[in-house]
Amino acid sequence: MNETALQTKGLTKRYRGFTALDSADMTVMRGDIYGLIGRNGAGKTTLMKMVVGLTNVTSGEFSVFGKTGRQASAEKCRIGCLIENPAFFGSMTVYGNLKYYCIQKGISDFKKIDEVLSLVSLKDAAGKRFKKLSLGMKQRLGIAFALLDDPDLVILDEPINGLDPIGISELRDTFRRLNREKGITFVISSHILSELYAVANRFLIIDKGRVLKEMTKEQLDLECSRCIAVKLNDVKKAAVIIENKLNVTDYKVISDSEIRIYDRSVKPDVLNKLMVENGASVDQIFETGITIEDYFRGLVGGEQS
Amino acid sequence: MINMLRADAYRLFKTTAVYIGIFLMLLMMGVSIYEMSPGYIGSVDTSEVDELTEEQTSCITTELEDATLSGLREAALSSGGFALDRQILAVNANLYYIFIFIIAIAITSDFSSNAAKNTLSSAISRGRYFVSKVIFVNIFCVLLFLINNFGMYFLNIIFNGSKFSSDISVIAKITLMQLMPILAFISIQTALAFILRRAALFNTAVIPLLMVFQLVLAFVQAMTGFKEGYMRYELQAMISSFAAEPSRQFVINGSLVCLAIIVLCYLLSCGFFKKAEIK
Repeated sequence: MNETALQTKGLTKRYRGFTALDSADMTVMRGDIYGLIGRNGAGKTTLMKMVVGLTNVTSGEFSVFGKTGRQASAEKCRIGCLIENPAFFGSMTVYGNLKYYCIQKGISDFKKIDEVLSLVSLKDAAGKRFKKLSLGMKQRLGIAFALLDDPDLVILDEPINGLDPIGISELRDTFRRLNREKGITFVISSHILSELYAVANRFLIIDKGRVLKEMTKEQLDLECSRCIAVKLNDVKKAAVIIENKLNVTDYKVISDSEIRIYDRSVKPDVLNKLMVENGASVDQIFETGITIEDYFRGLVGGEQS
Repeated sequence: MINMLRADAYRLFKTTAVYIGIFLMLLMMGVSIYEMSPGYIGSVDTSEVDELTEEQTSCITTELEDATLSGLREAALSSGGFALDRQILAVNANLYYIFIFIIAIAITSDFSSNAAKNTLSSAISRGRYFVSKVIFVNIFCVLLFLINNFGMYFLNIIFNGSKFSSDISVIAKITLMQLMPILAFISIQTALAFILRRAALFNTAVIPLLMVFQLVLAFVQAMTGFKEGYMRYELQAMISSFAAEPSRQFVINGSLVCLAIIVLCYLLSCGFFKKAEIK
């Protein structure tokens, strides 16, 4: 499973006087559930649109399953996607719309339609016209379309928009199951961080068209994990005490007046006593940790997400 | 490509608008056959077609000026006969308005509903998408054109009798000659569909286009005084003229003008579409 499903190198999209995506690098390995995190207008959709060919690339390149250029376009038959809002023919039924795409993709077994509709719990609405569907149902149909021809890579842009909590939970389970059982790689964008965190194993944080960080779930957990924060005026001395007296290396100097210890074996009272005994004057000592939202807000510069 | 054509055919016949379009075409054909006098949309006429209508008016006595439609029909039926089928073929430019239905369903509805992105995000390239749509609308519109010409021919014989019809070889010859301007019509509409993409914009541009174009031509002619003969190469005028007995040279020149329009329209619109942002 070490094959690269999708890789971008310096992918850039410029419109007149506006850079929507600036030199984006990302690597999605086969089997990943890859989360694209970013605010509205961060560049997530632009990145996805360039990969699936809905907008032209200004500069940079991308590879799909190791293939670049024209060969990458040919590999697009292995991609299923839902970009922006689900869009289908309003006067045609759910079944009719999917049958149209089955014919277009050369799928002769129309049982596949029932299969994907069951996956997204939309079988009962098969005879309904698209324009009569609720937002959540349209979203489900979009996901059903993305899964129609057994893709190896599924790209979903804000797939949980308009879904009710039960629907979100069901879809999350569906994504996990398809990933586990069929080995489908997912690239999912969302600005609902908690939902993305619940399903993805790797993340790309993007803001104002620039990639801020690419990280695994473990790395994100570490960044957000609970710790003991010590506020004092001599962090160098404190660092020496932590390393030499406590034999702890899992700590981080946050600023010239704050140090954070992630080692869960360290107790605040013991630490405080040790600091005082070794002549380090502690102003504050407390247990802390940050939420993913706080972490994201910190990365993008404190503005509200 | 074949799958795309099949899928579009499946969708076309699922749409009510296509049946309305076909019904309107049959209605125009039926009314022309019953009235024994086809109606025009537009303003261009040609001397060749005038000859055809003169043939008709000479057959019908002038005392019947105030007669009812059925009275006129009776008078025409009791006359010595004239080439009604060729007169009807001379107004085939009316098909332009029927083609709008087909092109709107096959192309602009894809963009208006944003469903085009579903196709274009799959392995189908923009080039293949464009070519497939062009082939589809051409096949379907030409099919309608053939149904219109030969359907009219047989209905005319059934309802009005053989003295009002030409030989089928004449109809086939006219059909063949008219094919180029018909293909040019299709190319203009297809190009507008790919450039404008939105149904409302497309309809706004394409519906008055024929009339506006004729007005502009007439204005340019009046202002610059270019030869009146050039007006015969306007598409609607060409369709009319080809139903009469045009000279061989005119048919060749007209077909070359049509070919130039077709190539230009497809090259321009394909280039434009390949660079477009798909919503």
